Amino acid sequence: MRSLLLIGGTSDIGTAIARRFAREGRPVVLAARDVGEAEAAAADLRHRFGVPARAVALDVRDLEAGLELVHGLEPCPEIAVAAVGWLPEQAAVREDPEGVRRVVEVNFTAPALLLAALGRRMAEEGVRGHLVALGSVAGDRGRASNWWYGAAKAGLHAAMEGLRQELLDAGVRVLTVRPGFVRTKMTAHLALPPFLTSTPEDIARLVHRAVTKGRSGPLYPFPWRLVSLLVRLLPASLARRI
Amino acid sequence: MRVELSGFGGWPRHRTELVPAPPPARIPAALVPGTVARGNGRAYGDAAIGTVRTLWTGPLDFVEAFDAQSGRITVRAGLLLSDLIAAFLPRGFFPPVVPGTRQVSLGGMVAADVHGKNHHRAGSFGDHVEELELALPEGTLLRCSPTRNPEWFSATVGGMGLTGVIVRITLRLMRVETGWLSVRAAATPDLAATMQALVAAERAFEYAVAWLDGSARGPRRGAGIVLAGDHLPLAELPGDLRAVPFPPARGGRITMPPLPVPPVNRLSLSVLNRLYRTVQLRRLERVEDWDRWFFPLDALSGWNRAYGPGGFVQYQFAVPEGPARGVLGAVLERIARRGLRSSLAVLKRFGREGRGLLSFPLRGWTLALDFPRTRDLPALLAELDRIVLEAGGRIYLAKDARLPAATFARMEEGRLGRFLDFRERHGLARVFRSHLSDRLGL
Repeated sequence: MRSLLLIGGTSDIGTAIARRFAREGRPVVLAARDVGEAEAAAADLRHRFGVPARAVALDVRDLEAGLELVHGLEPCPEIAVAAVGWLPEQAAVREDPEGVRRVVEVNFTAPALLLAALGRRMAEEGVRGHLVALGSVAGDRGRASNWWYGAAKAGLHAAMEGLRQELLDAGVRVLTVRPGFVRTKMTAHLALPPFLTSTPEDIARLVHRAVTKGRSGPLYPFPWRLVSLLVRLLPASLARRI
Repeated sequence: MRVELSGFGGWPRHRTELVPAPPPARIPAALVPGTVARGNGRAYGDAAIGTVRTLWTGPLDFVEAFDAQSGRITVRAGLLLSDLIAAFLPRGFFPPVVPGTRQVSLGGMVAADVHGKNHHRAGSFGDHVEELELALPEGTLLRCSPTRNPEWFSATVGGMGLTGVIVRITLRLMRVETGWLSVRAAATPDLAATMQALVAAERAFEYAVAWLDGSARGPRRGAGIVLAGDHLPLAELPGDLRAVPFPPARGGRITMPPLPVPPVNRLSLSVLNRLYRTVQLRRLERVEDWDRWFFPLDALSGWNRAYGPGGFVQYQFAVPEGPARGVLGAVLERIARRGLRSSLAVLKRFGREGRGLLSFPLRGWTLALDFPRTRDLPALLAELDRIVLEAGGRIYLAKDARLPAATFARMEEGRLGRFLDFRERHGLARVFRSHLSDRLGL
C-alpha cells in the first residue's frame, strides 16, 4: 500500500487522520517542525498499528525545503494531507507585516504549493491519489474577528478548487475539509452547541470515508454544509451584523 | 481556558483553568502553584480538578515502546485504557489489571492505583508498573521504579497526582489466547452466602466479584449474584467463536440523552435490579467477550447523567477481613433503615495491600455503592464513615467527593504522615493541589 504524507504531523486533526489510515495498514510519513514529537508520533503508529511510519523535519514556511521534500519522497504517496494552520489574534497581526506574511504562508501559500507539487507528481507517475487540504468555514465569508486568517483560507479554497479541475483527468482527487468548530476531547463535552462541534476523530472519520469513496470537493461535518451555505447566501447588508 | 469542571459523578463543580498538556519535556514549564493532572475525568469527585490549573493529559497518548517477546510496554500517561486494549488485544496481550471502565487514562490508573476483579490474585495496577516518569517543577523529569528512587515510586502509586505529573509508564502486559472469558454466575440468598460464595469463587477463578441486589429486604439483605470468570484458551473456544478470537469492543454505543426526569429513581431502581438479576441468571455458565465482562457499563455512554443534574455519589470503602462481616451487615442495615436505596452495589474481596503509600486496597473486603445525591444522603454517609473508621477501614479517594478532613485523617492515621512529609520535603505541596487534596488536607 502506498503511504500517506501528513504535512503538519503533530496537529490534533493531523494525528487523528494519520491514525485512522494507519489502522488499516497504511504506511505514514509525518512532516513537522518539531521533529522530536513527530518521531514520537511515528513510533506510536508503528507500535499501535504495526505500520511503517517515519518522521521528517519540515518548517512549512521554508517553501524550497518543502518542495525538495515533496520531490524526494519515494515512492510517491497516494494520500497527501496538509493539516497546517495558524489562527492568530486578528488585532495582533492586523498591520504587522511579519504576522501577515506568516498567516498567509502557513494557511495558504505553503499548503497550496506543496499539495500542487504532490498533485503533479501523482499525475506524472500515474498515481490516482488524494490531496486533502484543511480549509475553514472562516474562509466562506470575511469577518471582523479573523479576516486575515479567513482570507488566507479562502485563498486555499480557491486554489484547491482550481487544482481539482486541473487534476480531474489524471484521476487525482482534491478534498478541502471545512471542519467548523473543532474541540479536543478535553472540551468537547463543555461545548455549546454540541451538534455544531466535532472532535479531531470525527474529522478523521469524515476524511477517511471521503477518500475511500473517492470523493472530491469541499467536505463538511454534518450540519456545517447548511450553515456554510446560509452564510455564503447572506446578503452583504446583513452579513456585516454577524 | 477557564471552565467549570466536575468529576464523573457530576458533583462537586469547581472553576479551574483547563490546559492541554504540552510534550513531556515542556510540562515542568506549565506547572503553576495549584496544578493537578487530569486524564479522562473518570475520578468521581474532585481528585482531578486543580485549585488553579488542571493539566489535561489527553494529548500525551503515544505508545513509545513495545516488546512483543516480554509484553513490556512504555506509554505516555494520557493514553486511554480503551485504546491500549484496541491496539494490543488483537496481538494477544491484555493489561494485567483493569478497573470497571476502559475510559480511563493509564496515568489515572497509576494515580488511583486501581484494582479489578482479579485483585485477589494480581493485586492492583501499581503492582504491575515497572517504571514511571514524573514531570516536576524546576524543569525536571524524574524516573522512579520499585528499585530506583523507590520513595518517589511508592508516593506516586495511589498518590492521586499529588507527587508530580505522571508522563510515562512502563508496565508488562499479559498474554491471552483469546478475548473471551468463561463466566459463571450464581445467585446467593443473603450476605453470608454471598461472602462465602465469593471466597469460594476466588479460589477457583482468576476474576470474581459480587453484585448485591439493592431491592433485597430483611433477611435477604446482601443477596446477590456472584460472578466469576477466567480467560478462555483458544482450544476451549466454542466453534462458532473461533472465527473471532479477539472480538472488538461493542460498537454503536448508546448515549444517554439529557432527560427532564432523571431515569434513576426509587421506582426504576427496583425494576432495574430485577431486570439485571433476570439477565444475569438466564444462563449461569456462559462465554462472554472481554468488553461485556470487564466493562459492562461502558456500553451506555454518559450513564452518569442518568442521575440528573444533581449528580450522584459513589461511596467505596475497604475494611479488614476480621470485622468485615459485621461491617457489611451494619452498612446495609443503615442504608435500609434510612429508607435510601443504592443504585449499584458491588462487593469484592481484596488480596493484599497496594505498593503505594496511599494505595486503597488492604487485606479485606471492599464495597462500592452508588447513590443519587439526595438531601438525606450526607447524614447516611457520615454514619457509614463512622462504621468504616471504627473497623480500621478506609475510603477510595478516586471515588470520593465529600469525606471530611478530620475523618480522613483518623482513617489514614498510620500512613498520612509519611505522605504529607514527602510532599513537604520535596516542595510538592505548594505546586500540586487538587480540590480533593485541599479538602482532605492531603
